[in-house]
Amino acid sequence: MNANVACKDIVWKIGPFVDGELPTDERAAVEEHMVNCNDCVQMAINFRQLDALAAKDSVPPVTGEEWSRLWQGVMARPHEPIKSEAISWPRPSSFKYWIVPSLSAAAAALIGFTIGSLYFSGPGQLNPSNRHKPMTESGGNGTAALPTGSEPPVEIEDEVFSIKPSKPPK
Amino acid sequence: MRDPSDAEDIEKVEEFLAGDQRAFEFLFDKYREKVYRIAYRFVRHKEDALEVAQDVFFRVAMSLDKFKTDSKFFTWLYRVTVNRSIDFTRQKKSRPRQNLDPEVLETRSDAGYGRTQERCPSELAEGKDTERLLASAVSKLTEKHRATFLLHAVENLSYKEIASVLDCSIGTVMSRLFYARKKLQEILGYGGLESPGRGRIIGKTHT
Ligand SMILES: [Zn+2]
Repeated sequence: MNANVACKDIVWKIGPFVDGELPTDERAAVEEHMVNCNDCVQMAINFRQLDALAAKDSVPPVTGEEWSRLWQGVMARPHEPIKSEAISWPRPSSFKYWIVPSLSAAAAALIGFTIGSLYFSGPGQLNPSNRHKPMTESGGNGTAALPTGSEPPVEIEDEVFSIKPSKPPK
Repeated sequence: MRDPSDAEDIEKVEEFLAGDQRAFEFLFDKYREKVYRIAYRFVRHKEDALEVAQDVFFRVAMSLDKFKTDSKFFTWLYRVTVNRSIDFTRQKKSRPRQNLDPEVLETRSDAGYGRTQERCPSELAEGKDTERLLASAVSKLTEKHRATFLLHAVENLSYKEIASVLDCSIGTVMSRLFYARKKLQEILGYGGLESPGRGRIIGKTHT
């Protein structure tokens, strides 16, 4: 193992490394570490092979007739207004990933938000400004339909990695 | 600079909004396979995936006027697809289908296949049931991790594109992908750290 860079500082860069999403200046450190670390090399191999396996997953073919039936179905459906397409992830079933100490604060915030939203914007679903919120290309935060006050606490497993990879070559 | 394919999409969106239904048919023909494929990987049943695809295109047609043409059409379309697929899966869980995909039924009896049998992915790749095992493992991921992994590994989207589809930061994509892969290794039960083989990995290079 490389004496300068411990595996724990490298492991989470291995995915971006094999995906070509790691900036050039960060790649060198990973490559250097891998020269002397079997574990990280193996992880890189495993990650790449997992991707290759997933890419092989076959999907049942659809006939031309099935496609035209599907198209007819799309066209035949009566028009109806569509809600926003922000993704609503489920809450984890277990509390172990949750930041337990923040629960009371979150509950207080939720109550506060509920009262606040009732006061300021009326029922959320019926408020036209809450509907049809289009995405932005940056995909940045703030486009989700859920108001921040009702966001669940941060899961530990969903920590945000801090490096900002450059765009891979097309 | 905008990709020619993206520019074409935007052009069709605008034509459709101006009243030309054929423009939407063009988008349908262009993306139907991809939408179906993503849906299938969530619902693992052909008829269900087609049902999701139909719903996706209907919703897209209904809300196309809300689409911002300074963003990519396909990332928006994929977002709708992921949403619909997840919703469908949730609903299905509460009313399970009788004639479940045999693949799913088989993998459910795979309980014995776990950490005790350590294999590396290349060994798995040699088995005929590889696809089934991996599909089963992917189905055990959380929705966030599954969506991120599938968009990356199967749809080959860049981190930036995945972030755009899932409406999160690139750092979050990295994190989810890392944990998804770790979890898949764990479920598939291979001992990556104990493997004797080693080679030099050269990832895709940056320019
Ligand atoms: Zn290491």
